[in-house]
Amino acid sequence: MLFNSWEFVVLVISTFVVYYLPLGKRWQIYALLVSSVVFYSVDSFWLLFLLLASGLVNALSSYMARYQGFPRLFATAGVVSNLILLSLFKYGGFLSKSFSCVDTELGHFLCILPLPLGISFYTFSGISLVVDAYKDRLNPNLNNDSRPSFWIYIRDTMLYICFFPKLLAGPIVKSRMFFADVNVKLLRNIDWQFVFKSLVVGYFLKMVIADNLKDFTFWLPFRYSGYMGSGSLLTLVFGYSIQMFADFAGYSLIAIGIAALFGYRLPDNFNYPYISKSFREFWKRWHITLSQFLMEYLYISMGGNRKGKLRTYINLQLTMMLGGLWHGAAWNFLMWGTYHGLCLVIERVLCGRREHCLSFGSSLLASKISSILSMLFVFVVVSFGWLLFKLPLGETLHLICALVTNWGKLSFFEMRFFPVLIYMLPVFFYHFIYLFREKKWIQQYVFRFSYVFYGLMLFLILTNSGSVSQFVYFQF
Amino acid sequence: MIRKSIICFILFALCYSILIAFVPNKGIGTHQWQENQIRAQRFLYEKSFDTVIVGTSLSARILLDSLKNVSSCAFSACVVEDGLRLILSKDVIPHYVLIETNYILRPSNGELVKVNTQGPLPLLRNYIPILREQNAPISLIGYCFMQRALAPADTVDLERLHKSIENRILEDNTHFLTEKMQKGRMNVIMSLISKLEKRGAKIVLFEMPLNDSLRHIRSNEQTRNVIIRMFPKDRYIYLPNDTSTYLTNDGEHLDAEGQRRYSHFLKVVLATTSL
Repeated sequence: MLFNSWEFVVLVISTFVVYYLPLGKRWQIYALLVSSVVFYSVDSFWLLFLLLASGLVNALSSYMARYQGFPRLFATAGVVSNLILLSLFKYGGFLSKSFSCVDTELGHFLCILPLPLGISFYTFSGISLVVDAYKDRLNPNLNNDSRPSFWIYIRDTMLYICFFPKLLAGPIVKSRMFFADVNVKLLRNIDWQFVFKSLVVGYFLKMVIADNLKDFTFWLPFRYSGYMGSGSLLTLVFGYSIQMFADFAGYSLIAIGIAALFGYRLPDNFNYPYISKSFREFWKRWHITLSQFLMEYLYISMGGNRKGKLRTYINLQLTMMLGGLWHGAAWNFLMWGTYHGLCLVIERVLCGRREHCLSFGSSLLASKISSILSMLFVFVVVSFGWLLFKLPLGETLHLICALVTNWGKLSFFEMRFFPVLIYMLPVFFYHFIYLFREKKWIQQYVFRFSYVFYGLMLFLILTNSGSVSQFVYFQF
Repeated sequence: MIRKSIICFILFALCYSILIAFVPNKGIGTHQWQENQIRAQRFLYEKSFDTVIVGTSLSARILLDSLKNVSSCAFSACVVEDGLRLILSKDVIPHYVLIETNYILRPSNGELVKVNTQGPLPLLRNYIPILREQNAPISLIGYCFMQRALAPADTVDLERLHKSIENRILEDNTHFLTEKMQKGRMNVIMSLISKLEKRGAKIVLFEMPLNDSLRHIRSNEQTRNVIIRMFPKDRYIYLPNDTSTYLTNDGEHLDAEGQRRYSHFLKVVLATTSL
């Protein structure tokens, strides 16, 4: 079920009414569970059972790891079962095709397995749960009390895994944060302003920016791109970069807003990533919850930066490669991860932990120039990286070749791509006001009249939305 | 803050409604989907036409300026089925439905019909013009700045294009349908057509010209045979084919000159066929 569908609106409203019924407080979690089941089963009814089974296995293994003997055994079993599930359903077909095993019985079986919606997200939530349980890091309130009833634990865990706003594409919530939030919610405690802002900005980014840009950037993969001028191609490349941000940040904001409507605070997933002055900073601002997950459960587990420079570089590269592969079972995602890994490693070798990836001295002016150029540099490099996300390596190279060779040959910029520039503007503005948020004039003229912008966004959602499409991250 | 935002939203909507009243029907599609939406909504919400063309991106390029009382339900990246369903969703049915036969067997994804006939928005669009795609702010910006850029494309012959495009089209056209699949597709089309006929519409079939090198490939011949079988010539009207050579942008879609020529040809044919 798409967040931007009427079915979803009906589901949220009906759940909201039931959830806050005066006599229904003790049934709140069940109401959310039922809605989550409906939400998931609309698109993939049979795969719902896989989700429920995954939730149950995680609940059992984490409960055993926390409250029974042999914690290491149960935790290992839990993590391994998540990894098996992910490997089988997400990477089985890919491995089978990559190593030419399609003709074998097993290879064919792996190829015909469906890709369950949101599998990457709910298995990562499961891993977080099991590891946290093992490390005795669950909600301290729960730990201090006597052992929770098994059924209550199962119920809360199922909610943690299946909570519908975050089920399909995150944000990836750490179990210790989520469990601390599970309690009776009251209507009067809803932060309506937060909900309103999150939903309006989220839907605006998704429906007005991303859904419209999508109808231009679909030209990128075709060989037609070879017949476009360099200006047009550059516009499409940057347009796709903005589309990716608007699509995923929009989704995350909607998820955060909907969760807040039911009293749950999901963590921020995006923090104005395109003002980053280094690749390190970019990954602290882009898909924050995944970056933190990879950092905590992969990079640090491999030794992080504690085992010398070379190991640090290798760990960084491996983490980013696996992070890339997490996005999708295809070589281009691995290439994309490798590309970002290389950016991080090269930056670390050349700049260490400096704030700007490009530096032109220490004076105030030089620092400002460094900041601006670093931001532009990171944005350009990241934007070209997105090509690997969308296209196979061959087509990416073809496009970059066309960009260079068509310079001066064809009409530099075609006016039919003019709207791409218009759709990019609000995202730049969004970053711009954050960047200068401390300035007096921004506070005086922008923040003070922010309701005008929210009114305008609502108006554009109604009148200028693009064609309805799935969120890019749903496929992961 | 929420209340102020909503008041602003209402003010924006009111001011824009007034603006739209002064520049009606000016908006243009800035991309393919928007063009389809505008065309579909013009058909659904504006006056009824005597004749409607139904087809794919091939016939979507027919210029309607010179064709009196003819509307189009031919959409890029959509199929005949979409156009037929849109016509059926309207209360008033046109007298003549001109159906492009080139890719009549292609299945529909149903998206265009769904967004224009299901849910509350189609109903609201009937009464609130700012909700129509042609009145979207970007469509008006397009009207102001991009009209020339979106004019029909220049003449490009298939020979001048990269081999890969030709290969892609040839590859697309080598996907043959099995007998069973053909039957399934034709049953869908026939049931829609019989509904139209029951409501008094006359069906007219025509084929859009292609690049010479693609005209006689096997999949096109296969479609022609199915059409002849399903639509006997004694029961259905067939428009004559224009067999002269046309230049295309990519083998299939007529270039600017071809669009003008074929539209003129169609005008003459419609006048002489006395529809």
